[in-house]
Amino acid sequence: MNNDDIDIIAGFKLNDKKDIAFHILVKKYKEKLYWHIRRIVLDHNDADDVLQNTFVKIWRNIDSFREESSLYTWIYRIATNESISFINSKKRMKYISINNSHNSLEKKITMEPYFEGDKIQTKLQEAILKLPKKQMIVFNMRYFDEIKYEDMSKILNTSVGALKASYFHAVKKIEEYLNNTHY
Amino acid sequence: MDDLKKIAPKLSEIKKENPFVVPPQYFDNFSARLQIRIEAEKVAAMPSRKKQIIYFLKPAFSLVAGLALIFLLVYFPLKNHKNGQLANNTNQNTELTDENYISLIEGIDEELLYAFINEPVINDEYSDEELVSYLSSATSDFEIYMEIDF
Repeated sequence: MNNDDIDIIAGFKLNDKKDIAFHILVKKYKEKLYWHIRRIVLDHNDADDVLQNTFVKIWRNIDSFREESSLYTWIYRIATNESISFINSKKRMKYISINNSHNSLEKKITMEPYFEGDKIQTKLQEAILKLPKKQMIVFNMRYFDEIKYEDMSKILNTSVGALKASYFHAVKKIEEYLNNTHY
Repeated sequence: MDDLKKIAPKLSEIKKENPFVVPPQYFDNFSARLQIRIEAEKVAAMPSRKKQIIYFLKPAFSLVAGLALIFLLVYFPLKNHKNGQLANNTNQNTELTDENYISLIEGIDEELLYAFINEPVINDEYSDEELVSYLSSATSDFEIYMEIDF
């Protein structure tokens, strides 16, 4: 655990410093968590909701944080679970199947006002969205966020071997999609 | 990266950049918006005054409810039991078989009977005031029960 996180946790243990510790935590992690969430939920407004819910959950549960894992992996786990819960609840609300949800997500990329990717970036995002949910999360965390497998293992509660296999399969599927698509 | 070139040459050619953007000032304003929600959380987590009052009065309510329950469980069965006994006694007194009736008639002294019949009629009429004063002084159910020998 790095020194910043140690200081944040120490601050949470003191009632009069809890607000300051939380402020430092938000300042440190808001952007990283936002992009992690955004790559899962795609829409900016959805990502904003999920990010807020994530921090509220951190605030509520910080007292029960046992320091068995690092603060960084703990809050990433909360953000990932919140994102997955959000997608699942949205899917249930719209009564759409997983395949249909992928189609709607693809449309979402092109219609999303806060997407500025060129053609090849759009194709890459489409290929990522075609992946099964877990492979998609693993690919994003490894490829874009460059998170170590060991940390991912703690965040996703999956073995390093299984994560490496997921990433390998995800890369293969994306490559295949790019080869079969003209851009 | 070299591994990626081998297993996914097309993907490795794509520049690794973030195609998503956020509205201007989004991250600058985020902390302030989040703070509003956290403050609401703090208020929600605090026990309200109404809840506090209920918390303190809860034992008193429980005690009163318990006493009321004991009263209901004891008073009504006891009342029903006494009413039943009173009804039994009344039935015993009023039920008159033919044999009892004959022995009762036989037991009456003829001379006393004729004397009673020939007695001058007493004026049994009561004034309204006498009736009201009688009714107002009427004994309660409880006093009647107390005077009955079970």
